[in-house]
Amino acid sequence: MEEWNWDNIKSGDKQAFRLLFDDYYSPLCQYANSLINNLELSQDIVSDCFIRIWERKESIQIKSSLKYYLLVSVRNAIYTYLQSPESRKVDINTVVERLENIAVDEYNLEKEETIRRVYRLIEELPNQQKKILELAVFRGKTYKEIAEILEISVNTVNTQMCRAYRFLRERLNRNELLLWFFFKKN
Amino acid sequence: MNGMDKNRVWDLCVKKVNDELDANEEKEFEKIKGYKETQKALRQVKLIRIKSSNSFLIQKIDKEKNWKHINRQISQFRQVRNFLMNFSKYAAIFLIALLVGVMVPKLFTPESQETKNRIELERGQMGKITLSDGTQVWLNSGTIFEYPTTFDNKERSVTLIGEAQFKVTHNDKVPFEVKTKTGIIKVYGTTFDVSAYKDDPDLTVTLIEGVVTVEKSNGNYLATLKPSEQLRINKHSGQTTIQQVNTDFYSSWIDGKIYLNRTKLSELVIMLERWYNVNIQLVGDKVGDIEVSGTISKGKSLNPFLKILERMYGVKCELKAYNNKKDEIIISKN
Repeated sequence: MEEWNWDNIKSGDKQAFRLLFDDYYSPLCQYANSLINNLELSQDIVSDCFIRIWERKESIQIKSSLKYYLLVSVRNAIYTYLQSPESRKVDINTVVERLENIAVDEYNLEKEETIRRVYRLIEELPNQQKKILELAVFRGKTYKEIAEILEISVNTVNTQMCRAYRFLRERLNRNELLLWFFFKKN
Repeated sequence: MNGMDKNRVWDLCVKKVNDELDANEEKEFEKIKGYKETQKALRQVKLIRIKSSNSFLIQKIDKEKNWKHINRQISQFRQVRNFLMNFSKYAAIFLIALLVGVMVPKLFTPESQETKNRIELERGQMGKITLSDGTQVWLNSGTIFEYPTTFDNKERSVTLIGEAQFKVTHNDKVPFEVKTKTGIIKVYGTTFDVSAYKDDPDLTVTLIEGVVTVEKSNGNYLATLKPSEQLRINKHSGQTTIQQVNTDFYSSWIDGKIYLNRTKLSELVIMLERWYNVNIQLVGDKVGDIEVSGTISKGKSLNPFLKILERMYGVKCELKAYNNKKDEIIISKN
């Protein structure tokens, strides 16, 4: 964690602020999205957080870590959003439940670069495997639905999924990306 | 764990995490569940799943666009302005005169130079922006929207092709104008929805709260609307009608929902095409006349909805996925 960077930001260095944005903007959107399940809105909320951080940079005291501060800012912004009339856009009960279930200090906020490294490995997969993986893990489709969409058999979906996971395990391990196990609950 | 192939353990875990185990495999998994090795594999599979899902997700974020927005908000102009606000008017005038020479080159960097901004949303995309006067605009799929970076004190004017909903910040002195090909909508502060898609025969203006005035493109007065009233202008004949509507249906899309109350399938598919970026074909005479009621959430995939349609209305929905063009859905009578 480049805490030194914060001092530069504090003194009004926009370049340093851009670095912070580059590292954590997308991961924070992903964090917000995991709570409110609306990517458009997550981006608005995180953007507002960044704007507010810049505006109040001189008075902000980072006590534990910058990462923690960013996560708490986003989480508080979500609470504020839930109180606004616009919050009709999300299912408040689910969001509150998630907010209470995932403690900020247990959340592993990774840098964008780390997340992108995983994507680069995924891109090495054969096209079909990549497509299947995306439909399954990102779009939440069942094997049967994937089979229908891609006009292949369920068996093929299964085999290709197993292959994709095996490939990713091997490559993630080699790149030391499987080191953290931060699963609290199943 | 004797006799069990490591790869088999792994594959079972993959299936388990994806919730795809059949009854036999479930039993097989139960037997090995307690082993350390299984637990480790399970953790790794979950981790891979979440990590790949996250990495797919961040590909969908347009970082540059968001940075531009942030950068505009935190730009020096705003800070200088805020700073000046704290001084008396005269001191401010003096300071501006003093600063102009210093600031001008900085203020007019290429980024802030563009006075008109243009947003083009593809089908399947939605967006929301806040204009310089605080007016909020929700843009529906397939919309083209033009607006100035800052409004001057004489007019607040934007251009729209497609559909947008406006929550206009009140200003008695400067009306807010939405220009479309077919007409101009003028308001001072209110919430309303404008639908002016190129491929729709009508321009529709639906008022949710406040008052709006609609003028023809040539500036002639056309109509004044009260809440829950909807004006339709036919682009070709120029014929206008005003009707009472349930505004929920017209405002629902900004929440990512469509409320349907006996909506004809033929009307609904036009919305669905824009939302999900697919082509939908209705096959058979009466299919388009089927009336549908209920709520559709945009966040959810189209599939469950199609399944409900099949079950409740006795139609058949067929999805064809293509690599090089939009997916196609064919809805036909069973």
